Amino acid sequence: MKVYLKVVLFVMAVAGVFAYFGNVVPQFSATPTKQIKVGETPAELIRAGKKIFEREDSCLSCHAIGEDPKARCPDHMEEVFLKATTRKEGMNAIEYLVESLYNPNAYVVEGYPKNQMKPVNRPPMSLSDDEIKAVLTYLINLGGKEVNVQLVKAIDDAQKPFKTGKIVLAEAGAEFSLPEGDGAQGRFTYQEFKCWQCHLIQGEHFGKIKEEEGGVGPGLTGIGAVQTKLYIAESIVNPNAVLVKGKGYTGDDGLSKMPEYHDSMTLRNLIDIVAYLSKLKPKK
Amino acid sequence: MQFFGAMPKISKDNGYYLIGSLIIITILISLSPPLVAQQVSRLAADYRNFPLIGSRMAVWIAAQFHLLFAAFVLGVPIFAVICECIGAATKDEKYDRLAKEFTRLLMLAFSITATFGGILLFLLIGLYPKIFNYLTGIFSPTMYFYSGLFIGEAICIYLYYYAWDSLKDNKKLHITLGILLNFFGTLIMFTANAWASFMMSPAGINMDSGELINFWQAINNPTWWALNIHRFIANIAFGGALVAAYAAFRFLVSMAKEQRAHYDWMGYVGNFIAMLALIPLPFAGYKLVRDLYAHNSSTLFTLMGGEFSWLFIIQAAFIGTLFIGANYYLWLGLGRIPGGHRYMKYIIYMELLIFICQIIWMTPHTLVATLTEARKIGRAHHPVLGIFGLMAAKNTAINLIILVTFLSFILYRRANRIATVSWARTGKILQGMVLVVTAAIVIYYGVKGYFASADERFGFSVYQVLSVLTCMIVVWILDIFIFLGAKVVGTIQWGKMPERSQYVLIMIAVVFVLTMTLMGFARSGVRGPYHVDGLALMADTSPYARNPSLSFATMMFSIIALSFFFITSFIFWLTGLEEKGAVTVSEPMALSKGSALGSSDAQIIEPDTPQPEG
Repeated sequence: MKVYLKVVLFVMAVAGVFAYFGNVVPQFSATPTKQIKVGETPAELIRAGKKIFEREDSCLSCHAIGEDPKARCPDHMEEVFLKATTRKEGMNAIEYLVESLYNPNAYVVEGYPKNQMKPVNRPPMSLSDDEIKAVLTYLINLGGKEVNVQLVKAIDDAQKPFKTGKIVLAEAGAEFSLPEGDGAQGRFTYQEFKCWQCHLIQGEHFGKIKEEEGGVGPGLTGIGAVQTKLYIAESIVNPNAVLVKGKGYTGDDGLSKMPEYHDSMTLRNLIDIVAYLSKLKPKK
Repeated sequence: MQFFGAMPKISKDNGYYLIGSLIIITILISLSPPLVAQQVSRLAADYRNFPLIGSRMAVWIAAQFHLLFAAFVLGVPIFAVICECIGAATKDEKYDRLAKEFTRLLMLAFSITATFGGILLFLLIGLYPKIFNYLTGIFSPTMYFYSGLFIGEAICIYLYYYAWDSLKDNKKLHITLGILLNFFGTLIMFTANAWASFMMSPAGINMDSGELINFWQAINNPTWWALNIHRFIANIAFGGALVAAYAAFRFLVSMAKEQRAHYDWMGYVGNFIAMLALIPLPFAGYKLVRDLYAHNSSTLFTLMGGEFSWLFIIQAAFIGTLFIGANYYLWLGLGRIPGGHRYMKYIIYMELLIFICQIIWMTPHTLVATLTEARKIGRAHHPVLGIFGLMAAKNTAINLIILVTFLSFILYRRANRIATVSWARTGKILQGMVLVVTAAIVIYYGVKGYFASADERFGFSVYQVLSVLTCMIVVWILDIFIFLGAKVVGTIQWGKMPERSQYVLIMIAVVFVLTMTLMGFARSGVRGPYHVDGLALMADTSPYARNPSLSFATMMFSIIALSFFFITSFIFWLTGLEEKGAVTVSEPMALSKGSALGSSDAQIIEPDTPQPEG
């Protein structure tokens, strides 16, 4: 028994040492995902839809409510329902809006490039069918239309073909595309160019950004979720093409505070950084 | 009722009960997934909660225990059969007794494995019906197949153990049973690996609707074979380590000299098997991660550069401890071998090299620094440590550790022998050159990795691995021929080991368990918010979708490891009850024919030097 107790204490000591080691290494945040409860009544759906739509790094990264001349994707989102009624022949407004989310390339408004928006129900954005329904009820309500049980059912019906995965998504030919880069190398390049000093990526530990020095640029957590590679590449090469509203990202002249890298960054650097950023999964 | 001629007699009633029970169990296991899936689909619940600890922890605990015991039950028969074959070939009974003793440990462990397997199954069905229903839809034919294999394994394992003495005059049949046991066990593992690997790297399905397109592709997905190989080797290593820990404990509680000698030898053999399997294991693990990367490159970023990067520092600590412990045990063992003192002088250098390599392996790439500190450093990484935090350095370090461990084995093997062949000196110089050249190749590709792209660097690891494996084979073969007909400087004094050596064996087993719990956590967690990686249909929308912190995880590992050892010590205690006083030694355990695993062509001479203390 004495030997047994010694062995037990020894095993506890060994396990304890490694448990201690596991506690002193840097920790990553580990909170369970906070699910936005979508609810079932129109009022609940609208409330949930607003939260999803306004979530950081979600729809508002590209779209805007109200006028925004620099928005890369259609602004005046409060008018979507009105515009949708006459947008596509043979399709009512609800069907059109549902299709726009599940299969964006099926119909692209003139003046906007194809392949810009990814299907929102697929990785990496991966909104659930209920979340998509909630977003639509919010936008429709925003335009002044009453959202009732019949309208919610109409959305449900329009979603059915997409829920079963039976609709083949439209693929548009690319006008310009980047070659496949080396994401691992891109991460190193991201560090070397010190992008992390202005752009926070949750879960990455390149260095500590002080409050007064950091946050100069938009957070890039899960950027690959909501933006295409072309958008990311353009943001590096031409940061003034799309300026994210608010939050002090621009100087007194209204231009982006992001430095220019035309002379220091090679094409290889750009391709690899884009490869790295485009693979960042969203933190819901 | 008698089977196979000389088999033990089973009464007619008992025989019918046994067969009837097995049939009923098979039917129940086979029918349960589809039956329950029907119920679940009506209730349409995606998740259910488990009281107090939550669903995730409940499944985590059940799965981990099942995996630990299953690894033991699958690994031990492999080397038990090999041991029995050695005994049959050399007509040396102690190998046969050792094989039987290995197998004795299996019986209760097998029942416990099945128990935890059943618990896991019910928890998955009840708590995660969404994913379980989906997996059943894809893999139900394999689940029926699995049930059949389980029956086959159960029959074989009971026959293999209980018919041991009855079939002592028909070794061929008994060994065939053992091989069949391993056949069923391996196939069981391969079948279950298909489900686990599919969740990491799905194939053969429509990635939008989740519909099955090709059943074989779903099984033979990108990581299936890598997982098969890795787990096969790891089971052997784990089984060996647990057996060595058992022997270590029995050594510590034994008072009789013969018993201590027996368990000292058993511990050595168990540790030898564990280390033999541990050496190729990092390569198998690397292959698994490479295949995962080929399937989904973002997984690698998560594993090595993101959320799990510090987990791999902990893994480095575990694996390094295993190698350091194994080497230390071998060096202590030199003390029981006459002539072993000749090699004691090299130990300090080998220790130093291992520690340096271990430190390099554990160096993180990214230090958590403030902006001011980073500016003082002048770059994102520390100018010295940053160099060692990369895979180029770490691959080099582990390959060198493996080479040193191999060298420890070589020195141990020749500790009590003096070569008598005329070309012995040339042969040893040749061995030395092969080792040095291999080390140079490993370091060369390690340094070159700093100047190569990521893809090229991945390829360099293959050259490093191949050179180490080639070196081990060449040096081992040379060693066999150099020491043909060697003079033996006295017999190995089994039992003459300091007690701390046995605690080293126990520590190795504990760290093996911790390593398995850690890597199981990594494998499950790397899927992120998906039950099946990348499949939106199977996104994890439960409250436990995100991975817990390392702090929480390591606490879980420790609790599971301690619980596992309490259960295992209960098994060992029961086994000890059965064999109380059964260990007899018909000849002095000090081998008279060379080093540990026997060499039939050595000459014996009496020791003329006092034995060094361990």
